[in-house]
Amino acid sequence: MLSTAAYGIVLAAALAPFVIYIWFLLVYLGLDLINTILRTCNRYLSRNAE
Amino acid sequence: MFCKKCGTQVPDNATACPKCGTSSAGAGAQSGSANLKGIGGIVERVVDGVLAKIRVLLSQPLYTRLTDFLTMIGHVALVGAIAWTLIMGIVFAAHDNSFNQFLRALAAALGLVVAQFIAAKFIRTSAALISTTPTQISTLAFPDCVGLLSLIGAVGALVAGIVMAIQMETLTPLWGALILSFLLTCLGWLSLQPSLANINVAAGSSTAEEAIAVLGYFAKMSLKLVPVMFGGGVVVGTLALVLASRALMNQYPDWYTPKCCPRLRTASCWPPHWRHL
Repeated sequence: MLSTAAYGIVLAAALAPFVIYIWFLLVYLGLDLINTILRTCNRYLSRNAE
Repeated sequence: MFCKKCGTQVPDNATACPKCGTSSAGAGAQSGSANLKGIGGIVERVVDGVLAKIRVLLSQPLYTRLTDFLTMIGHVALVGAIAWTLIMGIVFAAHDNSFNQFLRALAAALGLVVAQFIAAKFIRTSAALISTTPTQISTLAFPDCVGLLSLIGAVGALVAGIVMAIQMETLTPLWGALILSFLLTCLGWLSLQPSLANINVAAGSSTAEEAIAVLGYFAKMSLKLVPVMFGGGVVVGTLALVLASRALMNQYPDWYTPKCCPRLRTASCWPPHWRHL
């Protein structure tokens, strides 16, 4: 059991770069989406203001 | 107050310069911050001075060297873990006279080989992604505060670990505290050197852009901490693997008289002999 836990630590640490990379991409995708929505809203509001 | 653009004297309650029309919100804020500096600026200046000294100590090249070393040692430890898994597979297969034990160890070792390949690829890709994704924040206030809190947290975790180890008369809490303290130190280090994560300070972003940049800052910190987590995690895991295998071997009282094939006797007897060496 102890050996399985230790093996799990090694495997988790070795896969951490992949998991964090995917997480980073998802966060940036979300941020880019928010940015796009904000820009679109801003453009719509400024066009209506005119 | 004075207009920040043309220098004309502007009434304190005016929202814009009567001469050039520039908004005076910034000028008001500037005079406010000047007043604040006069009253409570001593603490700010002292802490800024301390952070400047820490910045010299925790420099950018040193962080790069540390992460390179951790990546290298992580790969070495991972190779060690693969070799150890295979050796243990042979040893236990010989002892129990079971080929399944060896197959299981072989599958585990293959899993680690694949994980090492993935780690090597993604550590390099992460570094490339950071260098091609610049982030612009308007002030260093946020990274400075995160850096300060992280370093205080690192010292606090270390002190708490030492106190708990003394109180409990065991070293177990100290290991956890050391790992947490090291992680927090690296986070503080990165926060005090934001250009390591390609985060630059430049004014002119809107509030929404600033909010996005700050969230991006957190994501980049975690990506930049990847070599630390990889190196530290693999080394700790490999040590735990070796210790766990040793503990498992000590449960067998008949290591010196294996029931297996005499040809495998050497492999089967190797770990206890190694211990005596």
